[in-house]
Formats: sequence, structure tokens, C-alpha cells
Amino acid sequence: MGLFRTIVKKMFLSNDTEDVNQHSALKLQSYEKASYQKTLAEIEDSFDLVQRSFFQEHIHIIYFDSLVDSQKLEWEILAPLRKTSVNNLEEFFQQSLCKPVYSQQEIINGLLDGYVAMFVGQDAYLINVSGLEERSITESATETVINGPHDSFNEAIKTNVSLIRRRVRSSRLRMVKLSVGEISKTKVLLIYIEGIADPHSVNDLKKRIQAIKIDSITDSNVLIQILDDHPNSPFPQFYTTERPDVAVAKLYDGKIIGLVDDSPNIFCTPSSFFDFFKSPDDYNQRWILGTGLRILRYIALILTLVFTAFYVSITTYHYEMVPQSLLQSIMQSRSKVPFPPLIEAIFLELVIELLREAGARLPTKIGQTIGIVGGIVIGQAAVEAGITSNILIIVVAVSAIASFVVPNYIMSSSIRMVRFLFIIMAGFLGNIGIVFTLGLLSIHLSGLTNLNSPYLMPISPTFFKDWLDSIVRGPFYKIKKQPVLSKKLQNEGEREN
Amino acid sequence: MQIRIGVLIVMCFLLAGCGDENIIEELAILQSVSFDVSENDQYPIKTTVLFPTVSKEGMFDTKTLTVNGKSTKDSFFKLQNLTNLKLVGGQGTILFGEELAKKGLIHFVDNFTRDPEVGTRSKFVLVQGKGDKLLTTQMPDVPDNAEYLYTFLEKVGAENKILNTSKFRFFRDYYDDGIDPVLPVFSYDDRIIQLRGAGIFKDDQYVKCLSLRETQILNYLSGDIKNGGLILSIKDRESGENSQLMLSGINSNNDVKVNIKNSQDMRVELSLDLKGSVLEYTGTMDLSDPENQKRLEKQVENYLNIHAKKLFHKMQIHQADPIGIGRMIRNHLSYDKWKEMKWREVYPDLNIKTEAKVDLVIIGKTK
Amino acid sequence: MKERLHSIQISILIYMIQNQIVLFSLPRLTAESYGTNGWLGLIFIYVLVNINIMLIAIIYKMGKGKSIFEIIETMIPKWVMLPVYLFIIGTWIGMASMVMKMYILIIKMFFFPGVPVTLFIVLITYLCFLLLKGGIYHISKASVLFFILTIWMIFLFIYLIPEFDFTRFTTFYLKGNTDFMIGSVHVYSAFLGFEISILFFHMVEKKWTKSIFIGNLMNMSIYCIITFLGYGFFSFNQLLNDIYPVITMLEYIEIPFLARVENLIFSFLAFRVILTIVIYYWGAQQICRNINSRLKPNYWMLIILTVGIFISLIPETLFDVEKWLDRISYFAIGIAWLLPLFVLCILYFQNLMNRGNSDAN
Repeated sequence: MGLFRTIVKKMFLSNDTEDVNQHSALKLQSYEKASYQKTLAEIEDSFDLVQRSFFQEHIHIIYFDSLVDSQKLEWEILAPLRKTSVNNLEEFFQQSLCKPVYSQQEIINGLLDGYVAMFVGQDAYLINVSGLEERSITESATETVINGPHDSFNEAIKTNVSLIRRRVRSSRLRMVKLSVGEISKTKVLLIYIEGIADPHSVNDLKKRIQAIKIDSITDSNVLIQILDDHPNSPFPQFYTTERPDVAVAKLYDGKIIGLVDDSPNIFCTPSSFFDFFKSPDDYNQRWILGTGLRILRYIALILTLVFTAFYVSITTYHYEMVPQSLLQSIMQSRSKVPFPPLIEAIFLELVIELLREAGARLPTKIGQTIGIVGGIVIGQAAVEAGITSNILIIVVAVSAIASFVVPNYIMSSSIRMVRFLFIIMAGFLGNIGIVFTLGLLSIHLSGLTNLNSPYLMPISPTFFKDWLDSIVRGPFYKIKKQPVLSKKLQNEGEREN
Repeated sequence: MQIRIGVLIVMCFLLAGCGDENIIEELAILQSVSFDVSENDQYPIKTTVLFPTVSKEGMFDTKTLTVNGKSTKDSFFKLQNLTNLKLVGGQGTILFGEELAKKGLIHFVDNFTRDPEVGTRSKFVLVQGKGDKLLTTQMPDVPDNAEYLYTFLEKVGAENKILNTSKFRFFRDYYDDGIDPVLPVFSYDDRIIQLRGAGIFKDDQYVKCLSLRETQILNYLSGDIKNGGLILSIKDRESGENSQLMLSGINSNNDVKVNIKNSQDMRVELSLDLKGSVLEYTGTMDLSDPENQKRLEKQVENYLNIHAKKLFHKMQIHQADPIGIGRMIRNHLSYDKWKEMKWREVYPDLNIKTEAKVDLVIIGKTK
Repeated sequence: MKERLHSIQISILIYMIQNQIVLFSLPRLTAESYGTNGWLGLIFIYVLVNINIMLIAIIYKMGKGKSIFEIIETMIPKWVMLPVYLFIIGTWIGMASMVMKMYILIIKMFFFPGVPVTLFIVLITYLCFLLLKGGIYHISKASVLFFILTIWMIFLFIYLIPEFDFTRFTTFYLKGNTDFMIGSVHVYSAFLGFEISILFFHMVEKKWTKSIFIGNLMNMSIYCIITFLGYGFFSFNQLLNDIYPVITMLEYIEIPFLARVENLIFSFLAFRVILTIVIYYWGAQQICRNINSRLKPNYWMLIILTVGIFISLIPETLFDVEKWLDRISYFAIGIAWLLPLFVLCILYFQNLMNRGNSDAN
């Protein structure tokens, strides 16, 4: 086993990642020889296909007009070709970015990536002049910060890599290029820092991605659901972000990040439940404030989960928990409502969810109207009509606000969904129901793993040293460079080798 | 997947069989209950309950119900049939009529402590006269008798440590063999509810109501007080004039010394160290003069010593020990000696001395 | 990497699995068995428990981390041990189901008089099922979460300090109508649960025995704090008169926005009770697997849970349950002492034989 690991390790350490595919292609003995005719036959009937010939059909070039940068094309290929003659072709090949290619498959892949295919007699070459249309780097819409960098990833993998590269000026930054999807052939790039990331995890993730059998993936959020250890859990297990600074911070933590072409979200692994409650703002503020914010988010988590449920439980079963002074107002607000608290609460929670969903799908300007309709019309009218009680509206509103405090949108939606289970159980069994659901949730969460690393790290299994940078945000002089477990794994790996 | 199936099963189970709901607006949550001796021999206990009700329009009101029953449970059973709401116990006040309290409360109270619905913080109160009258009488200045009494008790409890009552405290002092419980005593008339003082107990029997002045002193004797008040009228021996003195911000220290030579000869010395400031003084002495200040301190000390002595005498006559002198003595004896000694009989003849020491820290803004 | 229990996890697990159902009546139990200032008796029991744990630690050291089944079965054939195994399985399942039943009955008495017992049994068994399915690693990971969900409650006891008075402790030590032997057994049963750690041997990181002691110490300090507070909070006779003094203590706590917190807290203590139940089931399951390893562990689990449900349905009243629990606790204490001693004897003989063999060679 140990030997095998060393071999694998050496293999991908010695190859510089970019040409892993080519390497393996070379090793394959039985490939189809590339030729001009075959290529044309395979991609005929494309509207954007361009074919040109030079020197009396001595040289053919093929490319997709939509995928190449015409300026680059002119500069790199057309102009030099015009200048040279058939005899001086050697010179041309020396100065341009030509790459000799042998297999037909590679030619097609290259063309689809925006390369220009050039056929000279029996030989085929690929020249990189790709220039895809892409969105410029803008501010992230879903993960905003007050202090700190404002750039975010866009859909072009190359731009994304450059955003990471320029933040990690180290030769130890490693990238593994993979592709997923039989048809879509989406590029997936795994990035890690050698010496910090756990090599077993890298291998494991690589194997998992290679093993995926699927026609196409459209986004990194799709990919991570296929990779999940526990696909039936409501909780997201891979942390995703569109902020390069977060991605880089994860790299330095010894994690692996994965870029998917055509997706602005990168995923990172192994991630834990507590990663979803971090925001770059925690690090850009004083540590005391950062810690306060973190704690606030955990309070928000608890509020979101149990606040409404607790209201239902108290008003349905545990009247004695209401202090004497509050009793009167709760009774007064409930007196007009004809439904039991459970129905009342579920009704109002559903309204809030409807509002949220409507707001998310509508353009911003109309979205505001929805807010007004929801907030004023429904809220006010429902109370006056005696369908819900005042206090419940406050409770539901507080727990809705609390749910938006969770920085990660997917996590916040998951929590909101789980909340319904709490409310229903509270309606049936009061506090015991809440506690039962809490138990169910704890058992479920503690059983989850992400890339074989426990989801609740570092709470369970417990590594107190890591608490400083997960549960709270400790001062920088206290935060260890690397989580305990990844260090431990690394030491183990070294020992085995 | 199994989780979901499991949840589904549990849900079905829940939907199938589950009752026991106590939806808050369908409850009659007892805010106050009073127990009295009834005129009916067959049903000797008269129970009155008071609970808040809310109409569909959101109007707040209270409702009182009265029945005679054989026991408390019997009464509650009867009460259930008098209202459309579900009657449940709450955190409120429990009132006992004077007559009932004199017969002894324990059997009675024991009965409803079995019921976990009655909170340990429920307040116990004695009423001069009939408890149900206090609850049912409509008073012009008091919109809700139970609520009024509850807040009143909270205030009284905050001012006088000894009058801070609850079901739990009553039981604790009752079961302890060296102390007797104390409950506040209230009276009522057509207009107002009034605090009368501390009702002292011999075991579970109410024996005597101490006056407000005595209650004040009892409060200082029973333990350390933070930020208390004291109103006293002193008589100057030289001039013979009466003057009123009001002290506030009193921090007192209470120390009990027990001297035991043998089981016959026991002395208890209670030293009381008061530090307070003068809020009001109607006498003629010029308090800015240190001499006069000393004299005033002396007078207060005298006042305390004399009144404490009187108070002890009164309590000893009634064999009530609300201060817990018994506990102090117990902690100075061996187990066998304490068990041999009949505390109740020793107590009336016990030699108890009070030594007060008063320091007036601030004497007011004006001279 | 094979997952292993590491030391903090074991400490918390041991702390969580110790029998909490006794805690509710612990101040009264100590008062009944040791008399005045009975909380001192806890220290005596604590020492005994530590000796018991030490036995387990010695086995681990002498056996060099072999599981006890390996140790036993090198000397004694499996079929000879079968009745012993069955007895242990029976006791542990009984213990688990009685703890469950008792907790349920207390819940019913205080909060849900009208809800059927079977509903609660199904709920708790379902949680046990989920935990057992994941094995000991899952149990230990969940125990950390449960620990966090319950440990904060100890701070609520701060609210009782104003009512605390040293004069109520009395100056008498261990006086009154005491029942030392039977009472000690009762108090001892509050610490039970740690004996299952004898089955952990091949699932732990090195140097773990220390953490059993730490777990036990944590539990002891919680017991001590609560019992000590109880003696200053209640007067002695009142303590004797209250069946569940800890619940009364919780009832007295009032925080500004919530009255009667015992309602909530008592529900939260379900987590500790569930872990006690689960660990006994797990222990039984381990022995079952040793008896017949061909049957899948999941089948054993289902059999054990079903048996547990049926046992818990037998006694009806709280009084019966208490009687049953007492009996089973005697057996469980017996197992906690005799099983390690038995294994130690075997180890001793093995060592003697090994020495004999090496001499012969």
C-alpha cells in the first residue's frame, strides 16, 4: 500500500499538471491518426466553422470562428503565414505556439477548446489562439463583504485560475486537470498547495471525479452533489464560494479547491459544517468583533431552528413556561385565532417562504413590491382578520431574519427546511418533540462526512486547538497555521513512506 | 434515506395518537387560589379560584369561582365543571384564610404539591379574615386583585427578605427541625388590600401576626440584609421628646453566638451590625455634631435591643422560631444531644440576647 | 485511515454514558443512605468506581490491547462462556430498557400524562437505532454534540445560589436513619456505564485509559456540584421527602423570559439518557457478534432493540420500574466488578503458562 502511494505521488508530482492528459494519450498505443478529412467529416455543418488553405492546399487550417480571438489569429498565424513561403515553414513553426498532435480525438478536443488545427501534409498541429467571450470580473452578488477584496470568480476557468495564481505566488501550487461529462467534457481543475494539502485526499478526489459517469454537468453545484458522501442529506457538504480570497484562504488551510469551467462557484473540500458560518469579514475585522459575529451567527442558527417551534410548543403544551407578566399578552394575541398554534405557525412560515422565493426569482425592482405586499399587507391584514397572532408574526419574522444571517445561501436554505420538521414535532410533542428533532439532527450531522473527513470537525472529533479558527475567530497570533487533523494525516503519510 | 422513512413512520405514529394539548387560550390558568374553612361540615374546605380570561375581541378580564369540597382535589374536580375552559395550575399566589391556617396547613398543602402543575415558586399568603373575600371583593383602585397581590408580594419580598415567600421556602422551613416558616399576612376592606406583617408559625400552625414594626426587626434578625430600610420612633431620655427616624441603604451583618454549658444552660447572643444612612429625622438634635450623631446611634441601638427582646419574648411564648435559633443551636450540638433535646420545650426558656451596633454613615444633605 | 476513538472523545463518551436517570434522585439517595451531609458518601463511591476502572485499565495493559473476547477464548471455549455471555446481554438490555422506561414515566408524570408510553419508546428506540447503525464512532461523535447540548445547563444552577445556605448542611456527619449497603449500591448505579469501556480495547488510540478516569471525574464533579447544592438548598428532612429533588431544584430556577425551565431541561436530559441506553445496547450487540459473527451486526441490532422494547413494556408503574431497575443494577454492578476480575485471572494464568512454556523451551 505504502509503495503504491509513493508511486502515485511521484507520478503526479513529476508531471507538471497541465499536460497530464497528453501524457496519458501518448501512452495509448492505438489511437486514431489525425487527418484533415476526418476532422472535417466529424464537425461538418457547423455554422461557425472556418477552413482555409495556404500554399496551394499544402497547409490547411480549421477553427471555430466563435471560439478564437480574431486578433490573435491574425497576429499569430495569418500574418506569419503570409510572410513566409513553403520552404521557410520550419522557421514559422519555430516561432509560433504550435503543438504537434497525433490523435484525431485530440484535434477535436482542441478545436472545441478554441485552438486552431493546422494540417501540413501528414502532420497535425494545434495552435492556441482561443478567445472566449467572458463576463468581466465583478463584485460577488451573493457573498458580499464590507471590508476586503471585492473581486469574484466568473465563468471562465482561465480567469479564475489567474485570480488564484496571483494570490498564491508559490511554486508549490499544484493543479490537476480533469474532465467530466461524456458529451460536455467540462474541465475540472483541482488546485492545492503541495506540502499542506493531504495527498490521500487529493488522490481520492481525483479518483472520484474520474469515476463519474454522466453526460454533462452544468455547474460546480451539480458536480459536488454527485461527489457527496451522503447525497440524501439536506445539508450541503462541499463548501462553495465565488470569492477568490476565500478560495485562497482554504488553500492555505490545507484544503483542495475545485474549479469547474463555466461556473463562477468553486468548491472546496474537506469542508465542515462550521465553514458555512464563516465570512471573510470575520478576518478583516478585529478578532473580538470577528468572534462576536461568529457567535451571533450560531445564535442565529439556533433561533432559526427552534424559535418558531418553541412558540408552538409553549402555546400548545407548556403554558407554565410563560412568565406571569407575559401570559396576558400571549393570551390576548392568541384569543382571536381560531386555529391551533401549529397550523397558524406553518401557515405563516409558508407565507414567508413564498415571499422569499418570489423575491429571489423576480427582478430587483419588482422584488421590492413583493416585500411591501408581504410585510405590510399580509402581516397587518392577517392579524386584523384573526388568522395569526401578533406575537407569532414577531417570532416568525425574527427567525426569518436570523436565517438570513447565515452567510452561505445554500446552508441557510437547508436550515430553513429543517426548521419545518422542528415546528411539526413541536406541535405534536412540545419540548420533547423539539429535543427529539434536535437529537435526530445531531445524530444526522455527526454521521456526515465530506471526503471521509467528519462534517463536524473540529467539534466532534474534538480538536480544541482548531476551535480558535472555526467556532470563534481567535487572534491571529493564536491561530495555528494548519488544522490539527491535516497535520496529523500528513505526519502519518510521511511515516508510512 | 432511512432517516426519511423513519421520520415518516414517526409522523404517522404521531398523527395516529396524540392528545394532551394545552393550547394557551383554552386554559384557565389559575392566577390565584384561596382556601378557607367553610360553614358546611360535610365539605369543610372552601376553595376560590381566580383566573384571567380573554374574550374573542381580545378584552382582558378575570373570573372567580367558588366551591366547597372535601379536599383540594375534590374541589378542583368540582371547579372543572363550572367553566368552559380547562382549569390548570399556575405560578400564582395561594391564599390561606386565617382560620384554616390556625388548624395547620401541612396535610392540606402536601396534597397539592403532588401535582407538578403547581410551581415551586407559587407564593403563599395568609389573609386576615376570609381568603375568598380578598379575591372576590371589587375594589375601586384595584382592577385585578390577583395581579395586584402578586406584584405587591414581589415588592414586599424585595423589601423584606423574610417575607419573600414561596411554596418551596415554606416547605423547606417546615421540614427543617430548627426553624419555622413565616408567611406575609394581608388584610382587606372595601377599598384596598393591605400588608399587615409577618405571620409566624409553630410547625404548620399559624400562631400570631407580628406588627409591621416587629416584622422590620424580625427581618434584620433573620439574616444579613443588603440595602434595607428601617423606620423607628425614638424617645430621647433627657428631653423626653419623641422623634421619628428613617434609615435607608442599610447593610446589616448578623452574627449568632451560641454558648452551651449543658442542655439546661444555653445562651444565644445575637449581634447585629447595622450600617445605614439617615433619610429623615424629626428630632431637634443637630446631627452634624459628631457627639449628637453618637447619641443618635446609641438611641437606635437601644431601640433595637429593647424591641428585639420584646419580639423574642413574644415568639418564645408562642413557641415559634422563625429566625432559626434552633438551627444555630443544632449546629453546636452533637447529633445525639440534639435528638435527645426537645427543642420545642427548651425554646421558650432560652436566654436570648441581642447586641446591636449602629453606624450612621451619611446623615443627610442638610444639617 | 481507520477511524479510532481518541482521548477527548472517550472522556466525553464516558461522561455521557454514565447512568443519568439516578441523578434526579441522587441528593435524596445520598441523604437516605448516608444521612446528614450524605454528599460526602459520593466521594467514597467515587473511589470505588475508580478502583473498578483501574481493573479495566490493568486488563488493557496486561492484554496489550487484545479484546477481552480474544483473551477469554484462548483459555475457555466459547460454548462454556455462552451462559455468562447471555447473562451479560440480558442484564445490559434490561438496564437499557429500564432506564428508558423510567425516563419516559417521569416525563409522563411531569409533562405528558396523556401520551401513550409506546410512542415515547418508539421515539427513543428510533434514535438508538440511528446511533447503533453508525457504530461506536458515530456514537462517540454524536456524544460530543449531545455533550454540548446538555453541559450549558449546569450554569443554570447559578440561579440557585441565593437560596443556598450553609447552616442547612448541619454539623452532623453521616447521621440519621442510614442504610449504608443498599444505599451505596444505589449511588453506585449512578456511575454505571463506564464498564462498557472494557469492550473498547481494539477501537482506541494509545494511552486512552486515562480518559476513562477523566470522564468519570467530570461526571463526579457534576454529581458533586448538584448534590452539594441540594444539601444547601433543601433542608435535610425536605430532601428525604422529595422523590426527585433535582427536578424540584430545576423547577425553582426562573430566568427573566422563561419560568419553569425544568420543562425544557428535563427534555434536554433525554440526550444523556439516550446515550446510556445506546451504549448498553451497543455492549450487548458486541457480545452477540462475538457469539455468532456470521449473522450481520444489523440483524443483531434489530433483535436487541426489539427485545429491549418488549422488556420495557413489561413493568407498568414507576414503582415497578424502580424495583426492576434496582435489581438489574445489582447485576450490572456485579458484572462491572466480576467481568474485569475474571479476565484478569485468565490473563494471570496465561502469563503463568507463557512463562512455563518459555522456560520449557
